[in-house]
Formats: sequence, structure tokens, C-alpha cells
Amino acid sequence: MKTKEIIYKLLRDHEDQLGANELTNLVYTSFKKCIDDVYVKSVKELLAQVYDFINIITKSEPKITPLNNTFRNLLYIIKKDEKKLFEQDISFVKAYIKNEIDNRKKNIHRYQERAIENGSKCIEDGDVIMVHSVSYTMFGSLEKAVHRKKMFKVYVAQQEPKKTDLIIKKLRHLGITTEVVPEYAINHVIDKVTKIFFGALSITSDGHFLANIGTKAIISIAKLRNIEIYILSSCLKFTTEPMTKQNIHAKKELHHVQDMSYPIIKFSHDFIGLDNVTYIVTDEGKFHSDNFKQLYGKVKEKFFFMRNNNSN
Amino acid sequence: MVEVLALSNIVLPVLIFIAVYILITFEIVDKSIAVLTGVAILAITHTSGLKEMVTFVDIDTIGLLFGMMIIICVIQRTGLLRIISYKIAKLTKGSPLKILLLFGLTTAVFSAFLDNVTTILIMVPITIELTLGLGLDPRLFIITEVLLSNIGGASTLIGDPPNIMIGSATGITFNQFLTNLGLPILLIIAFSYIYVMIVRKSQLKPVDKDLKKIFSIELLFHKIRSDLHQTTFDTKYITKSIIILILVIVFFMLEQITHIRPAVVAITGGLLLFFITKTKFEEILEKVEWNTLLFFIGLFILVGVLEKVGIIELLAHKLVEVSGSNPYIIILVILWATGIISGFLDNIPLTATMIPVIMTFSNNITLPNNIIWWALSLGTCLGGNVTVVGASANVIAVGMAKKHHHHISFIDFLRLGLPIFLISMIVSSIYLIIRIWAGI
Repeated sequence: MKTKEIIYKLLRDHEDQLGANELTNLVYTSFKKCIDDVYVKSVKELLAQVYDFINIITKSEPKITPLNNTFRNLLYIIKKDEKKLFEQDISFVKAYIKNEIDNRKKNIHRYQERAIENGSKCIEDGDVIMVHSVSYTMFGSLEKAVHRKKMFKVYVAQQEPKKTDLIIKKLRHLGITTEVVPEYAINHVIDKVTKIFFGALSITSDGHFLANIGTKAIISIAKLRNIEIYILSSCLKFTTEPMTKQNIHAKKELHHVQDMSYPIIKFSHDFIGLDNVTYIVTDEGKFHSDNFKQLYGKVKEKFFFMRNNNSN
Repeated sequence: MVEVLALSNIVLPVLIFIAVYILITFEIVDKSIAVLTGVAILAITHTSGLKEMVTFVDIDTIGLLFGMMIIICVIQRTGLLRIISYKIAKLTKGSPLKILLLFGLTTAVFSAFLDNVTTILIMVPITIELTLGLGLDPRLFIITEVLLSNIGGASTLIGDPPNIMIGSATGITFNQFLTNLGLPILLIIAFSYIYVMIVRKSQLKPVDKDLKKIFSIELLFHKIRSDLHQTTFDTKYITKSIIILILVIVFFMLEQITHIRPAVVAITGGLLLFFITKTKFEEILEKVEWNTLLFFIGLFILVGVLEKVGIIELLAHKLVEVSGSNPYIIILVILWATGIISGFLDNIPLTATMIPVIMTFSNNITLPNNIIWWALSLGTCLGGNVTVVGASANVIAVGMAKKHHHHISFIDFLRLGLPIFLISMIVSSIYLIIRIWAGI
């Protein structure tokens, strides 16, 4: 396996466990350490390796949008200062890149905290909330609601055992009453549920969002019962690209049972039209999905208009 | 008529023994079933009675194996070995050379105190994960680890079954094994590393010049740490288990003062672990390798019958004829012959056969300082490195590599295993020759 493919696999594994925002933080922390550790003979060599690295990261399968957005911005900044950097020594350039990484980490944290604040306001006393995937914004919102003494219960739609165990562990740690329902049996409890919370990997320009595999099935059932569906996400997940360019990872595996074997196709994520959800809650506030275009415009103005600006 | 009966009494056990050996070598049936079937035929044909068979079983070996199996089961449940392997992974910082050195050395040390298969089951998965994370071919690292596991296991009384059998049969203590075999094993490890580093230089290049690879290994460490954090470790349970393990090893070392046999120490240690850690007895008993214990019991009976009918004495006389009375030739014949045979056949039945042969042989020729036993130990333990079927740990490691889609062929293993076996045999030969020459 090539290093690029290994990195993509590790990114997928971490995204499963941490969610996209936390993964972005992890990637920046690791990248900063790598900048320190890498042995290069010249600034030219260092920058060539950094460009190559950013090129790989921004084409991951699937694309991790917060990483994509912030790394593209980092690339722009470095390229802009390239001539000046060539005149400096290696340690100066390393310090410069590390400083830029720190700036991005601070900003990511700021957006996350705002999104969490807005998300927590969506939780009321008596709510029965269904969750499905690991999302930093979602867990943060639930935690904040607990601190605000909101009384609510959580159903976890069971998926892969390891991921479900992780979700239960996190919710138990927050002291939230939790029950687990298999994905295929949520029909039996859905009437008791008042809200469903999902995180997102990306929110695309053509009005879709990417989330954990299995999300679409849950949304289909919930929509039939008119249950409120929330997407909790920071605006860093918005992308100018359409859903078709998100590189959803598909893998075919041969499954062996006794004397027969058959192929199973596994997909990393689901993509769902935003018209299927009720609200999109971001650092910009709570928006009804009907107002997606308005929200998208606002985000575009804030990030993409300014995406070449260091402050992003 | 009497002669015919006497001949059949000799021929039948020999035929059964050869048949059992073939069944074990070619894995036609489970090895325990093979030996127990042999024992059953001997009992049915009245070649040996049940009461007599019981006297053939070396209870010291069975007790030591049983006790150590219990201790290893409890230690494995603590997760301590996983934590250690993660810490070592961090120390390597993703350097292929450091992975080879640190994981190999840890495997050798673990193997000296735990059984080789357990060591391989702990060390190989993280090695595969690390090397794949670096985009390296894990085969070199897996083969080196398994070779070092067999080498490390040869250094102590409890490291490898042949040593347990030799120790139980001769009364050689834990300390004697360590002090007599420690030095040659260290030299063999050093020379093996030098050889691997020279011939596989291209696979051990540092990755600190490649940002992508450093990043990949950094993410991998986070993943391993996160997996580790999701497992709950009971520190009190771990501490108690370590204390008992250390006590057991200390008592092994003090055998000459306490006169407590290693089997008694191991079983007592295992029982103490039950009391202190409050582990459920049934759960651990389920994990004990009863299959292996039955295999040993059956094997002792088969060899005991061969001894009774005079075959062992015959083999000993043949050995005297072949090697003469020259101590250098005797030692080298035992070392190289058992080494080469162990490369292709299971070393446990070989050791079981050789122990009474050497004991009978020793009645005629005296060699000082147990040198003849060190030759047998080094030959049987290190011979397992020649081929992929030479030791159980080799087979397990190859199976684990296959699970990760990396096939280690017979030739792949031989390419590294044979030179390292030759290095081991040459170092051992020189060591033993010097000892005979110097009379130490």
C-alpha cells in the first residue's frame, strides 16, 4: 500500500472515532510535530514536501472538508510568502509554518465552540434525542445542555459495535440516560423520539451533507413521522464543491461463510439531501433547511470570499 | 518363540513411534491425538500397563508447563503486554531499524520468560500495524521477531519446552540455564542482527526525510493509543500480577537454596494469582492448553516404552559408535544433528527421545559441567529457526502475516532462517568447544 493510501485509511479510521472537527485538530497537531521532525537539507525541499503533503490531504477519500478548507488556505498563505521564505533558513520556515498551524487550530476551536453553543440551545427539557454517529459538535452540544441542567434522554441507533460502544462511553461519561436500539429496529421507538441529531463530514454547494453510513436510512424513517432532524456542524464543513466530488470511499470485500463466499461492498459515508432535514445548526446560528441558500451565501461570504485571508 | 515375542515387543513400540512421528510431522492428525492413539495401542497390546505408563510421565515438566500456562493467562488478561508493546512502538519513532531492534529484543526477552507462541501473538500484530503504516513490507520484521523468539527462548529453563524437559529430567536449575546459555544467546542475537542489518540494509532506511511517512506513523501512533485508551486497565490487577511473576522468577533462581522445584513454584504462583486477582478459576482453566499437556503426557509414555524395551540404549550405543570418545566430536554431533533435525521435525518429541539417549550415553562417557545438555538445548531450541515448520511460533507468525495479506513462503522464511540458524550453530559450536578446551 502506498503512503497516500495508508494516510487516507488512517484518516477514515480517526474520523470514525473522533468526527471531522476533532480529526482536523489531530491532523494539525501531528503535522506540526512532523514539521519539527522532518530532516531536510533546504527550504526548497521543505516547501516541496509541505506542498506534496497538502496535495494529498486535500484529496483524501472521502474529503475531510474542514481539513480541505483550512489546508487550502494554508497553502495559499505559504505560496504568497514563498519568495520571502526562500531567503530564510530552515528553522525560520519551520517556525513560520508552525505558527500558521497554531492560528488555524485556534480558529477551528473558536468556530466549534460557537456551533456547540448554538446546538445546546436546541435541547429542551423532556426531549428524547436520537444520535447515530460520533460528532464533536453534537457531543459538545449535549454536554453543554447537561451543564444547563436540561433533562433529556438519548437513544443511540446502533451501528458498528466498536463505534456504538464509543458513543455510549462518551454519553455515559456525560451522565446522560442512554438506551441503544439496533439501526434496523428504530421503527419501534421512533414515535418516542422528539429530535434526531447528526454530525456532518461536509455540507456541499448543491445542498447535500455527508454523514456516517446508515444516516440516510434513519432519516427516511424519521421523515415519515415528521420528527425534527438537526445537522450540528461548524461552518468549516461547508464546501464549494458538489456532493459528487466528495470521494466517498467504497471497498469490496469477500466474505467467507462455511463453503461459500460472496462480495460485500462497503461505503465510508452516506450523502443526504438537506431538504430531508429540518434544521442546520452552525456557528452562524440555527437555520431551517429551507433557508440553506441564505446560510450558504453567508458562509461563502465569510469563508470563501475571504478564504485566502490568514484569519480564516 | 520367546525370541519372536521379544522381537515383537521391540518392533511394535518402534513402529508406533515412527508412525506417530510421521503423523505429527506432516500434521495428518492433531499431535495430541497421534501420541494418545500410540499410547492406546501400546496399552491394548499389553506392551505396557497403565500403572507402568504413569511412571514414565515426567510430572516436573507437566507441572511447570501447567503452572506457567496459568500465570501467562492471567498476565495476558491484565493487558500489561499490550501497554509495553505500545510504549516500545512509541520509542521506535517510526524508524524501521529501531522497530527491528526494539521489537526483536523485546520479543527475545519476553520469550525467555513466556512461551514463544504467546510472545509472537502479542508482538506481531503491532509490528504488522507499524510496518504497514510506514509502507514497509512487514515480512522481514515478522520473520526476524519469530527467529529471535526461538533464540531468546533458549536462554532460560522456562523459555522453551525442550529446556523445561531437560531441566526436569536432569535437575539443572533456572540459574544454571541462564548463566550457561545467556552468553551464547546474547552473542547469537548480536550476530543475527548484524547479519540482518547488512543483507537487508535497503529495507531499513530511515523515514525522517519523508514528511508523509512521518505523518502517517504519527497518525498511526494516535490510533494505537486511542485503541489502548478504549480498553480499561486495572492497575491494581496489573501490579499484583507483576509482583507474582517476579516472585516466581526469583524462586526459580533460588532453587539451589530453597530446593523447591520449578514446577511447584509455577503452580503455587498460578494459585496465588487466582487468590490475589480474584480471577475466576473456570475462565483460566478454559484457557489452559490441555491439548499440549496431553501431548507431553503421551510423548513421555511413548519414549518411556522405547526406553523399557532397550531401544534408547541401542541408540545411545550407536551414538557412541558414531562420535567415538572425542568430546569435541560428541558435542558437535549432538548440537548439529539435533539442530538440523529440529528444523524439519517437532523439537519436543526429538528432545523427549534424546534425553534418555544422552542419559544412557553419559553412563559411558563423562563430559563436565553439563556441556552435553547445553549442546542438546541449543540444538533443539535453535534448530526451530531453519524452516517455517521448525517451531509452533513460526507457523503462528506466518498465519498472522497471511491474515494481513502478506504471504511468507517456505523459501522466504528459509532465506533468513537458514543463515541465522547457521550463525547460531557456529556461535554455539565455538562456545561449546572453548568450554571443553578450557574445562569450564
